[in-house]
Amino acid sequence: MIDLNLPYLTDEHKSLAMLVKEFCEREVDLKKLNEIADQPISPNATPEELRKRIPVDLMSKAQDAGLRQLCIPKEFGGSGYENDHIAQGIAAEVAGYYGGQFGRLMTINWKQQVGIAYLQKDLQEEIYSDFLRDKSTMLAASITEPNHGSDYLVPYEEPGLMPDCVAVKDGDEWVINGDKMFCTAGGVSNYVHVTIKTDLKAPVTKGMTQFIVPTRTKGWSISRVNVMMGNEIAPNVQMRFENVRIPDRYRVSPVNGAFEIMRSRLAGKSLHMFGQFLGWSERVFDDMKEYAKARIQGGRPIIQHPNVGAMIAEADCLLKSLRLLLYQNAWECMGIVSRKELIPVKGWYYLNWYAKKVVMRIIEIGLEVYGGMAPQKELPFEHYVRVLLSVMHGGSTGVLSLIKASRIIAGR
Amino acid sequence: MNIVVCVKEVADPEAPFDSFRVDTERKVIFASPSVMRVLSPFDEQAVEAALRIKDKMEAKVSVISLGNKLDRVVVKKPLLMGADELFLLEDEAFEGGDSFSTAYALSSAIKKIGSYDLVLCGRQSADTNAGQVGAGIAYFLGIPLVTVARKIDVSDGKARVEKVVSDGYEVVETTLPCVITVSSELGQPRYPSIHNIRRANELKPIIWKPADIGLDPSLCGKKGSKLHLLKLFQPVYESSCHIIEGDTPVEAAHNLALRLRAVRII
Repeated sequence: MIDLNLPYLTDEHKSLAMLVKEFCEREVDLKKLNEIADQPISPNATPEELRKRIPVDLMSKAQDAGLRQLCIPKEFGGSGYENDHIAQGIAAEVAGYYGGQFGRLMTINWKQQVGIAYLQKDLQEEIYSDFLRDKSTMLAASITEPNHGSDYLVPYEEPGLMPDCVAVKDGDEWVINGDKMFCTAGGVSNYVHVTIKTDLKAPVTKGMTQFIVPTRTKGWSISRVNVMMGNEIAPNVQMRFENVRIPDRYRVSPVNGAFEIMRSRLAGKSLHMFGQFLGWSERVFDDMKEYAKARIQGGRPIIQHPNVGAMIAEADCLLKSLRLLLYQNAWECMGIVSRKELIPVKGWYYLNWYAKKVVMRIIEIGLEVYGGMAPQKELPFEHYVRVLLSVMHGGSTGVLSLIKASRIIAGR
Repeated sequence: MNIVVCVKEVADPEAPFDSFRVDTERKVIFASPSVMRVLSPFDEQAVEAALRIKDKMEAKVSVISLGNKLDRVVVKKPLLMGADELFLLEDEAFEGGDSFSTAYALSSAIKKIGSYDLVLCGRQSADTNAGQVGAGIAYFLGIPLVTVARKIDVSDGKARVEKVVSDGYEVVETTLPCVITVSSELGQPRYPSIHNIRRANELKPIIWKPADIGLDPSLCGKKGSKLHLLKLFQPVYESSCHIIEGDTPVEAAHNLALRLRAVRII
């Protein structure tokens, strides 16, 4: 159960949290959503096939309740929470706790809605109105490339990285060619927010530019669906750009200035993701705790066994400390936004790094607590394990540590 | 049209059974701190009934709640759903009351509000399930009462009510003002609107103490109660296992049927 008696939550935040809880309890069929997510996907699935997985009726109800458009500014028909990072955090946490996969369907969109709120007004109008009209669509972003998955996170300035997807200026248009490797919900989005190399000789931090690409544009396609260990309802796809021509007005960062923009917006944008994973993990933890109280071994509930009790306590500490970090980050972002300054990426590093550590440890502890059941498919948190391993995989945690290490060495 | 809705804050009735503890000595029930406070679900349906009337005609919906240290997020919910104003009868003196003293205090507050055409309550609260307060308010106000409504239509100074009965519903009509208690058959209450949630910090209830509604504290809460609780306890259910014998499945089934008949299950 999510504790709402926190000093940084106002009546408004708590009321929003209660709305999300009530919506999930009334409208969300957790089992059905998990089944949709687990339906096999062909690597060659078309966008039309991927859209059939989106529960449009549920999305429509979520929009009626003001949740699907939570972070769209009010002037564009949204609920206007694009700058209230604490509201975003608690809404995401509650959606994760009570809604599981529904929480992901919401937070993937909220994350992008916050980013789009920084763009020029005409683009906001175009993207938001399309999103509100088409309830089967989502919002997506991508940066990684095949064979260059972590190039954009290297802790040094190396020219020539990420060379396989390039945008070249041609008059008033940009021509994009190449592939983007990982894009959650890219196959069901009408617009994708992509970061693309525009100066091949420059390091990634000084040679990339951000664009919005309408997926109806000629030359855009899904080159394959990334079939994960734990698929989500909106699958992760690889995108191909073949002579995709977009007008310059779809460029949303200074030329070669993507990284300054990303670094300043990443922290606020990503809170939803960590909030949702935190909530989902808290739900898994509560179930695990109840199981440990009910399961009798050796004449006592296993929660009284010293090893199990200690692990339950550790999981509790991990989740509570992650929660503190999440809301500290949200609070800092709010203060910075109110001063109209750019959000530094520092807090995001810590949150990202720690959230991954916590999720991995919760999975490890869960497997121990449910040990008597062995890792069977019927394990109560089996779906969570597959999805969270797929989304919060450890790969980039190591890179984040490298970046931090390089900054420590450099005395920053 | 002035509608008054009475709502009660309760411990979440959906909370796990083991979140509650019965203190037989003090004759009180304690909920674990982790149990959320919510509006009694039948009362939310009463709010919904009022708002459905407001959707169709010019109406003002006033909400009253009673207690001490009420959770603002919980009691403000009717405002977030679309009600116009909120009165809280909030004081230590209101604690521990029974249906009589609660109905007396609420009816006094309704009189103070002034003009009222319709008073709506949930059919019963989700904690005590007594279902007496609505009737008590009608008694103190001296107006008609219709219980367990699933639909309410108001026109020409009358309320036409579909009243739930065990095998369907009856349609009854009464003059206004009246008290109607609302049942779950009304349907799901609406969600709080995001627009109103964004104003939640600014929405301030009007708070009344006993003196504000002309009540002597000795007539409020526990002191004003007519009901004296003699014993509060948790029922103990015992179970035992009987093995039904039989040389064949058919014989065992026959013996099972005889056994069920003997204990009057079939």
